[in-house]
Amino acid sequence: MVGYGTQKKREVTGAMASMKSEAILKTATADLSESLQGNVAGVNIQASDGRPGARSNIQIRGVGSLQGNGSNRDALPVFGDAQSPLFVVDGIPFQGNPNLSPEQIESVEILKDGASAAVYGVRAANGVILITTKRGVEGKPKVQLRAYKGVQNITSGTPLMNALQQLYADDVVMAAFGTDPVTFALNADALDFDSNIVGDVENQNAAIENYSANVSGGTQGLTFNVNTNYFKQDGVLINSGFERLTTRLTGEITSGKFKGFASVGFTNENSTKEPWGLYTYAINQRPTQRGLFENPIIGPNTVSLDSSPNEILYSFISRELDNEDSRKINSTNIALKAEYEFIDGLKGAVNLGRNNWNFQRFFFQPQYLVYNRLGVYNATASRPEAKLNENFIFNTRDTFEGMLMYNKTFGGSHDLSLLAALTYERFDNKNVGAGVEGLLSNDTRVLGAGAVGIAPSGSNSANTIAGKLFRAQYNYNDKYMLSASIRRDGSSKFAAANRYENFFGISAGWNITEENFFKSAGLEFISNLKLRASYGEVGNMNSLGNYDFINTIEGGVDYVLGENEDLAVGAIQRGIRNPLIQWETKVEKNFGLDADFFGSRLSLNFDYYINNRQDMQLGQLTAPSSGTWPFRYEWAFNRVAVNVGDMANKGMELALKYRDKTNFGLNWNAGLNFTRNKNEITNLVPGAGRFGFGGGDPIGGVNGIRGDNTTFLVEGYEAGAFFLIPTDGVVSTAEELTEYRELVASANLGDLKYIDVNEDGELNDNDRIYMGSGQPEFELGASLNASYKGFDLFVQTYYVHDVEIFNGSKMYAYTAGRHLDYYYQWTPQNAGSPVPTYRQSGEHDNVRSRSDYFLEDGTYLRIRNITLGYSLPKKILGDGIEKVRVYFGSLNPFTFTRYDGYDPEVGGDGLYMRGVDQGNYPVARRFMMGLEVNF
Amino acid sequence: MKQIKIFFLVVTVLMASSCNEDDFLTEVNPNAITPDTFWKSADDFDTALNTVYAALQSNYVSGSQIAYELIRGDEGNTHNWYRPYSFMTMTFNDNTKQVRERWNDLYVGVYRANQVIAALQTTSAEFEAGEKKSIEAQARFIRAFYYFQIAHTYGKAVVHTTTVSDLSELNRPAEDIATVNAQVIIPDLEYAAENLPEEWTGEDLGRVTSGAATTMLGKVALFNQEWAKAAAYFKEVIDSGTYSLVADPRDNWTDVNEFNSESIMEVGFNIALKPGTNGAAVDSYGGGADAEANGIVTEIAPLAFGGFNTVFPSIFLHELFEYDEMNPDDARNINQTQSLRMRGSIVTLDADELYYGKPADDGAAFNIGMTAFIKKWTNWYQVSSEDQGRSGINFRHIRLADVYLMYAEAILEAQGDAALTEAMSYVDMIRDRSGVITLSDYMEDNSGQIPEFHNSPLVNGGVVSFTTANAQSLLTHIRMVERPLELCFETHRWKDLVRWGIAGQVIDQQQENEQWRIDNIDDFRSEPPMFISETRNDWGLPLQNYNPAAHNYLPIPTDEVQINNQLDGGGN
Repeated sequence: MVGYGTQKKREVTGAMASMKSEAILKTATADLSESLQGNVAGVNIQASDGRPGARSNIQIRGVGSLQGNGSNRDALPVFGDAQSPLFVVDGIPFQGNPNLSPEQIESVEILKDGASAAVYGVRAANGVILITTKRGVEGKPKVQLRAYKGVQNITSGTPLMNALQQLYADDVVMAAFGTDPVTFALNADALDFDSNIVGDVENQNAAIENYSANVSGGTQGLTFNVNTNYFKQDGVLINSGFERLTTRLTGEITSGKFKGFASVGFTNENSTKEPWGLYTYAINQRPTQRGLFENPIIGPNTVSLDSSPNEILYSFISRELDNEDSRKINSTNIALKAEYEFIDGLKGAVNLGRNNWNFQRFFFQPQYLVYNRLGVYNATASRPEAKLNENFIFNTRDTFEGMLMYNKTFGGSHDLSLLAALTYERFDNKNVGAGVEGLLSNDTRVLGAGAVGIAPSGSNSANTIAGKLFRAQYNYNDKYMLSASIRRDGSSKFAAANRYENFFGISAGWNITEENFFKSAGLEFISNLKLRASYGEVGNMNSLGNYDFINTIEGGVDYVLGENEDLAVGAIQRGIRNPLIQWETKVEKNFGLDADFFGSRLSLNFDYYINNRQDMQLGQLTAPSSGTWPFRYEWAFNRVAVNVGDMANKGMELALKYRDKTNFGLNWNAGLNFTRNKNEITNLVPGAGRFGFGGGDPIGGVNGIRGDNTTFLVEGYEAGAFFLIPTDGVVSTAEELTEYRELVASANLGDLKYIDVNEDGELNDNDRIYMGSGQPEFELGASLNASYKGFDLFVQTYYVHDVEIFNGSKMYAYTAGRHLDYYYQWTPQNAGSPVPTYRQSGEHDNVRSRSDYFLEDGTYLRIRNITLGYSLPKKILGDGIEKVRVYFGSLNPFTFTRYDGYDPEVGGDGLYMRGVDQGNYPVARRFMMGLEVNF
Repeated sequence: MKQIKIFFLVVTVLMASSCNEDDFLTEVNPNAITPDTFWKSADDFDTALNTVYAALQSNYVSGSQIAYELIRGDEGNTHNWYRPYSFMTMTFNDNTKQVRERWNDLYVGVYRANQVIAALQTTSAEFEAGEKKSIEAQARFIRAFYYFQIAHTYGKAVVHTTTVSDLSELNRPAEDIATVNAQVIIPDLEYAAENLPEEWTGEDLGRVTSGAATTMLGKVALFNQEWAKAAAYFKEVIDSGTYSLVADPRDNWTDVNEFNSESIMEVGFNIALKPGTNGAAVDSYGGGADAEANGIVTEIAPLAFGGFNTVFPSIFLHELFEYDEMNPDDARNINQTQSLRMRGSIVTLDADELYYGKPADDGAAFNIGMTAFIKKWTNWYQVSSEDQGRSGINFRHIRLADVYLMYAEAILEAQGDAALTEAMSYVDMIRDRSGVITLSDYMEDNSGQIPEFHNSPLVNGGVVSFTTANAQSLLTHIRMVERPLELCFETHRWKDLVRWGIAGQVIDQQQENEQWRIDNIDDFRSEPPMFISETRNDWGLPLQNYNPAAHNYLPIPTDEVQINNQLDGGGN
């Protein structure tokens, strides 16, 4: 399968990788990308977080487009992630990751180089993933049943102080302020408790289960496949979970010169999300108060927080526990394809696709009344009235493609294929939200039961793409292959003058083993040797909003005027848009070599590529003095899309596979893949300031504290590199203090000592220096498959070398004054301590993320998957039963790393957040048992 | 080959038939209008001007986050677990929330004003007579007000007076206060003073006036220590006859008598409009609702009444109020134990009035060394709790009493003892309005001496010291007694301390007094008048950390430093 057609492996001239169903299903997961991880050279996949149903972050050949949002914690899902490859399912392009069940996938092809992807034009710059869903084959119907069930447990956490340690640390901290702690003044019984509130919100041994049934078959000219899959995963934090029921039908009909294909998928996803910031607020809580589920209930919806010194802080978490935050996604995708051969070799085809994606969020916050330790009602800690919000998103993507194909072999050895296609796509989005307050009771969870309406919200948007494609492929005797394509795309996301762009691709291949001179060279151990070279151009506009090229005057900025204080409605421009914004172009050169040795027992694929992104679309931050940082909505207005700067990714990929069979009947194969990508910003707009492109706030707004940016785009460095201010221990002596006060006027003993790198006598962002990045030096994946008699074993490992991680979860526990390190913090009595004194503030220099204090080495080796299976021998199975296999497996059972945080696999948004561990959802390992029956 | 011909023929036909593509590829944003269709009528300009006003409601201009400014200086304190603590201890830095967001908020206002002013220069819209100038004058006044705030908060400002078309023009250097005055504040205020009406009525009530512009010109001169010039501007306002002190000082801090005769610049808030949204949500975007109410109550009100008491009155201020001696001849003081302005400004354990519907000693917790809570800007007189986070009380930025005190200060500085009588008469008008004994009465009864209430009577054995009335002692009285009593929690204090250059002195004195209280608490614990049950250590760290060069003004926020490469003239 290649873009707009099929080719045999021998004919392929671009760089692509593929994975078949069998290999995909080796990893028991609901997310296809988890199956790809570590298996495909050049494809980097990292979990964005451990939340059930969370999609991984996929990067093909290095960092892609650059307009990341930094830390985007929007409650609602975001589409068309700038970093995401283009997914094409059965020929129909998707908006973002289609989130198919791995069980429904027959094969996945990843188009890695520019020439292969060029036929997809404007959206293909981050690579293309072609998914072919399962088809039926003619013959007796086949039934396949698969099931697994397992548990997940949390393997790491942030070490926190217990009650006694906390009391000691509080004493020390307050002594530095010249005061005493108020712990016992506020709660005389503080010593009665030693609660583990983080433990209260964790859900150890959360269940995970998956069931699927596949029926396929067909008669002559008509085949079908039906697959139904149910997946359920409880979160390792309470109140979170994910459930998906998905069904896909495919049918194919062949009748003379007519071929028809239809694929229809229905997916229903239900997820519940834990209250926002649950984990981090849990870290915040002192152990010297009651556990979350131990507070006395003293009336209807009424609780007594009698042990809490600060019931407001405590209720940040306890008030949200009974929230109902459920999200439903109903999606259908329909692909229809009709093909007719007009005359010999000339075919016409039409592709029609419609993807509907409807999202519904139901967010109920119950009435919750708090009485404090004095028995007094506290309104601020309470939620006096229940609240209900419902949000809806309706997305529709329509695709029409008309194609004309010509294929002819001349003179027995010249094979020519031509393709011309017209494609039109339209994407419509509609958002609606409504809410009420003051519901009748906590049990009447409908909008109609509300007393007061919250202003409704809504917006619509749309974009369209029109493309024209022409491709010619020539093959001489399977010896020389040549392919050339041109695609012209137009998009509604640009002003009329900038609407169109052309994308070219050309590639060639040479099967050396077909040459006569080779055949006579006596190198029989080489069974196949092919050289490939390609050049391709692809575009990108994923990062762009639908109307980013035109300034807008917006309402919602009102005042009151007049003796009656009437509403004075206002509208104004709040951000700056760039009418000149254009495509970003990626030009990629690829050189590849495929070889098979020893009768294909050993195979080798090697690729070297250079890809240059030109006129990158960047979200350039505008300085706050431009007036584009309105309170609460800074993120919506403080970036302007610009085409500035170039970036290079250079790299190599190597995949080796060896298969063999021993004398005693052990079948085995081993695979190794190596990926190295060197990324560099080669050119950046002058005048954007050294740190004008930044992100990577490691704590991102919990408790209203914003961390400093940690990652930046700086010319000459990899994208999203860490630029931090180096530190030199803790200010420990009076002399040191006097000297350091020259730099930081309000410094005190026990403060973290920053280095004035540029020696200008001021400590500010100009003192930041390069400190590595979240992009690894290289990655290595290895896998082993073995089968002996009925037993089969699969082991997969993954190694990431030389990568930096910013330990945001540690930093958060520092900002909250809860980290175990504080038990050993600097005090006059413990003046050798490297741990700066806690200053009771999450904003103090001692806990700022622009220091290098929290940066760690993130190199790791992970045993990703171990699965041991046993298939019952044929002879004890009755007729009609083809296969019965049971297996036991574990995902992520072992990780070897020096990294101190939760998990060194930190994906984030792929650019600014890469290597920044926000640690807001722990990652778990899984143990599973499964059963497969085929008949 | 025939097939190839057919192939290309069909392709050509298909390509040619796709002529509607332009329509297909044209998508218009259905959620907003564009500048091309805006700025076409006077109404458009009115709509845009409303947003310039709307920025005055910002949290950092008149809303919840001014709390941190109230902590700077000697009138308010906070607890060490609240975020504004770093403003008390001077350990804020360039990423501290309030440092960043105040800068952001103020520039949002500037950007809006610049759009209106720039569009006015090129528009072909038709205006009524004088309307165009009036719109420009309003926008320019408010812009000058924002710049005044920026300059005196950060000591510098990046000056933008127009909108930019080229992104590279967005980055500009930071200028010092004198340059900001010359480039934008003074020209804007002069234009506004000339082109704004003295008063607005009816549906225009609440717009800015020439009186406000003249007062701001006076403030610019005052901050510049151009005393005679400042005095002249203030006198112009006083003599205009437009303004007079309201009879009850509390009308300056409640929603009872808004836009009253004393008010010179007032920001409107309303609780009835847009119900349900917390006052801190100033503007809306996407699905986020906004409010026309003020969220400041959440910061100020005590924990027991739906707020956080992030800021509460200092012992210093509380003590000033206790000694703000009521004039027994004033009928309004009959059966009262606290002065009118004390009753409108702070609540204490022994207050007579109900506070949020409850006796003062039942509800608000006077603990952890807190002896009082702030009443200004809260709805203590009309609700039982501020748990909605909404207040309809307008915020008065400039009022006549402030002008009187600034005028008195300016003439004392300019003329010395020659101005003593006149200056004292203005101070006394304010005192008399609040029903407290006037300085001239004190002089009469104490052979020409006036009391020094700022010399803590508690520390001095319960004795109020007196000093001879002269220009110097009256200036000290204005600085240390009258302005705190009259204008506390109206965001003037820290700017005043900095322009007088006495912030360090004040911190030293406060720490000295506090240390005395810590050492002697057993002698006066829980005794009247202040009922101090325990001492606090609020002033130790400020004393240790304060450095005028680093702390008088806030640092320019990290975002600006990172992005604006022209900040120090293009150095980075």
